[in-house]
Amino acid sequence: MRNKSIVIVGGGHAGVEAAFAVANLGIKALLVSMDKNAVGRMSCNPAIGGLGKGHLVKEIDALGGIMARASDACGIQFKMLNKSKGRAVWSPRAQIDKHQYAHYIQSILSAHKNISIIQDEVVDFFVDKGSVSSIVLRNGGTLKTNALIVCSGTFLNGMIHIGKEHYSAGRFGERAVIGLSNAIVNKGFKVSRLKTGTPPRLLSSSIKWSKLQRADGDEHAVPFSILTKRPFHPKNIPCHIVDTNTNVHKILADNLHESAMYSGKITGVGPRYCPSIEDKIVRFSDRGKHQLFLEPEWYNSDQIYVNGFSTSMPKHIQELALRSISGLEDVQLIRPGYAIEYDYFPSSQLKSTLETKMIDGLYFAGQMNGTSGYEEAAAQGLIAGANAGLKLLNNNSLVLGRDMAYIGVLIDDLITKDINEPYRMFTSSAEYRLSLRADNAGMRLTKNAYDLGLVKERQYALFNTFKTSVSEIKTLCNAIKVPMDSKNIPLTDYLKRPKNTIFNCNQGRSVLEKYPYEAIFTAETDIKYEGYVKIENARVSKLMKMDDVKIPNLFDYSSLNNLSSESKEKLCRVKPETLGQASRIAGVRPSDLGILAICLKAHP
Amino acid sequence: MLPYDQENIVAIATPPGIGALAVVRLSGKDLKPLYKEFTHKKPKNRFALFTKLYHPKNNHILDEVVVTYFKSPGSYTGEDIIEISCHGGTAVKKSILQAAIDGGARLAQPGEFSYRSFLNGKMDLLQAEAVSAIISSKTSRSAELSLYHLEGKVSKMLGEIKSKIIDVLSIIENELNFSEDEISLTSYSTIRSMLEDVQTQINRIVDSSLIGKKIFSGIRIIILGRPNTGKSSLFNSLLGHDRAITSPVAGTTRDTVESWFELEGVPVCLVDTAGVWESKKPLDNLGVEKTISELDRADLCLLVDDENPRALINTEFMKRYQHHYILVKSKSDLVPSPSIVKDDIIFTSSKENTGINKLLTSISTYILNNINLADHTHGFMITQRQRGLLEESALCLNEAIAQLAEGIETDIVASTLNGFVVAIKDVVGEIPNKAIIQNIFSNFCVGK
Repeated sequence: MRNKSIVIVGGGHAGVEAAFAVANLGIKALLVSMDKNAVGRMSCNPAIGGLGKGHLVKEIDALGGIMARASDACGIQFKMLNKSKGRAVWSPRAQIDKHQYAHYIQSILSAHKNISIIQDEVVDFFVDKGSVSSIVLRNGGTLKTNALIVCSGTFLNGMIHIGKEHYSAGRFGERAVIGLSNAIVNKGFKVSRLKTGTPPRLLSSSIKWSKLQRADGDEHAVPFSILTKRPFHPKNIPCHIVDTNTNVHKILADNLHESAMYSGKITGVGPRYCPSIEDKIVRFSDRGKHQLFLEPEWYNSDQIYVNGFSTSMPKHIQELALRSISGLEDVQLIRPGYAIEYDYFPSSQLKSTLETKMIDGLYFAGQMNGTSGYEEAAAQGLIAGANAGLKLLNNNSLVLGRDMAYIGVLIDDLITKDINEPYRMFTSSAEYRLSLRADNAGMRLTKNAYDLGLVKERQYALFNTFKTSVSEIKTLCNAIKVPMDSKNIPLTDYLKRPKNTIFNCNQGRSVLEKYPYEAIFTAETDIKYEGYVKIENARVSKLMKMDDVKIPNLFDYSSLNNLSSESKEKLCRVKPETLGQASRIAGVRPSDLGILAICLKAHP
Repeated sequence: MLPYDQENIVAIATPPGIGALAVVRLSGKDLKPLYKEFTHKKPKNRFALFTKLYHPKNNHILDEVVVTYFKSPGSYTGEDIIEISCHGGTAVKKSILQAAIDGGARLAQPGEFSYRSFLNGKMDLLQAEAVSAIISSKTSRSAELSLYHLEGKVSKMLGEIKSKIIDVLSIIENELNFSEDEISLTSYSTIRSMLEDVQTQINRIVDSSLIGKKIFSGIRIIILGRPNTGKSSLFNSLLGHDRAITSPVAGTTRDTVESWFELEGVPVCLVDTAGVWESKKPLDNLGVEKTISELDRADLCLLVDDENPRALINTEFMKRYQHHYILVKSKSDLVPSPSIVKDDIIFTSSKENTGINKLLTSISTYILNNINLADHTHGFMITQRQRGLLEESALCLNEAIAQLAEGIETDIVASTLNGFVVAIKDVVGEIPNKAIIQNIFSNFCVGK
């Protein structure tokens, strides 16, 4: 593989994971970034994980990725979210020291013998016989490559909006990428616009902290990565909570015409789940307050991120609004919030491997596929990198089913659903939610990733130790008897009742205490969920049977005259790989699937 | 499986035999050319044309007919349809059928018209099943119920129930998607009462679906009494013809005899049994066993005696079974009535044909009281498939409510409720299932 190489465009979370996966497969990864120092940069909020996203980070780790271990190394507060709800939806989140994070990523990448970082810009690429053959660099000439993974985030024709001002940029203070998007469009790809926003950054010393409500992390932090050393004692730096009020809302409402979004400057569609503060006060006008979460951007940070106040208002309105909040009366902005509009490529143009359907060896990953968030980007980068590499090695591809991973749900959704706002991972999107827990990601994915070469020996050994512990604990739970209702029942049965745990049962705790907490937690949760998982799997697999029916690449939908025109248009556009994918495309009618199923049988 | 092709199909849509009129029906992607060949005129959508019908190839006149053209997609199948009302003679029908085939159509397979209708999204699976039921329905009432389905009202009702549960699910999902410090959670008791509301509705459907089932499969009425008390004569009188063997020898009816008639639009199966008594003859024992098993299946029991039918209630035999019953005093022309209380006893004489109408009225009352025919929303046609799925959905709902009561977390409750939604979707065929679709359409006759 010495003479084979893969080019990765972009050093954000997708690009980093893609390069790391390629390199771990033993293939040369050339990561092209306009700014070497920006590699691994967290451009928005200083946190990784969260609801649904925490699951993704655990899965990235289980597949040998880099995000989880980097978060553990650079985390300054760890918290398990959703603990008042069922364990399937518990999601870990960490506050991160952004500076340290980028340094950590850069040091890991530069230490890897298969990774080279090139400071340049890819402006075009050539295709030979349907396959990517070489790239054109702005400064460095032409470079031969076996595959090209584009992870250019919000940089493609990026346009920043602050109030009525707008200018071309990739991120705050960084130049946009202009040529590459056109090069892709010229090859026949469809392109569209999306927008996202970021809140202002506040000067820490201008905030009256004593007036704000403190929000600490968990006392007993659980790390993301299996590679992280236990016991784990990270920093626990507090965040702070503060509410907006009707005065704030009035200031914003009176100045809506100044907002880039509301004055109609932005054509892209924004995220519903991470709405701008303008959006919130318009859509939830009955609410007297919205919660803001003030997060330090790094350890001892003078720069504070205002989660929940993403905005594209002019700077002076942002200041005016924030200063109407108790505790922020004298607040100063280090930099204003802004909205960014960028090109994205509707993902129905991709296969489940994230290779484009049109050009072999061309892969898209990350925000340019219409997702939002570091974790979603990283997950795609890993899958694109792994598949680009595995294809060069003539190995099986890495396609995760909706029943195997949130990453599988994410990619299948991207391919089959029409995205009209940046896609964010939610646990609600997973049909097999009860089986796809954050704590059992390794159980679901690591063996396969090891076999493919993505997971290395040290991680695999740690995983096997964990797996053995879990199965020993389960065996013991069957053997240990617990007195209950005047008879002795197996600990397993005791645990199946709500709220019962090994730790609140003397018989269980005394025997099992010697095992690591995480193994006990996973074993216990497996036991609790076993029955429900079985029912859920039986039900969902009935729906998923159609995933086994493959649709030929060149299947001619136009010959099926009885399809409704809407279904036909959607199917022609998406070209689903399986009948299952076809069934998940919005707007395709069940009766049309019946027709398709029958025709597929007729024309194998 | 039926082929799914673009070919023109043809079938005689009226039942076999000779009638005054018959209908030959064609469906296909584009029937305009064939229409022109048949009539020598241009087709007008939804216009009934009285015309001479020509053979498409040799132009011979086949018959004088009324031809109606339905343009795609506004037709039963969603394709072009031609309906030809011709004279009812076998030869005429066949010659038109042959002419259509000569004109390029092929013979339709059973259910193929409805099948195309389903595939073109003109009806859902419930409606398709209703078509099948109408064709095979025994009585006017069951056909009426099927029509109700055909209009899609039941699908709509199930759709409403489904969307109520989806509303509950969205509340739960929304709360799972945001961490507890961002939003306040809906209380378990609120969610529970929302579910209980739907539970009442779904249980009513499942319960009344039993009734729907009765309308289709009929109710069973068993005639029970001591030997030689005139049960078979009563059986014949109710049916109005001699069906069972009647003779003065005790125990003539050794096996059960059954026959159908229609009452209040409901098919009624009347079952004549061997008399219930201890017998030493093995053949008779067999008869008694048969009677016991019939009693298990019956909906209503006519307790017949030529002396005092009330006495039968307290026999060991009847004590074992709790049934609706009507007391019948038979042979009222022969045996002088003892001083029994007469209020709830119907006096009949099969020989003089008295009291039979009164008995029929009493059975009608039973049907009307126990099967709510007036309110169609409660009449629910049901196939085994639908029944299984509806029961499954009801189980999911009960389970979800129980889980909330136990304090089980909402990720699990949501999963259980998803089971409900899937089951309901399955009833109306929103989940494509080839095997089921095939099965439903294979029960059709040609021409529908």
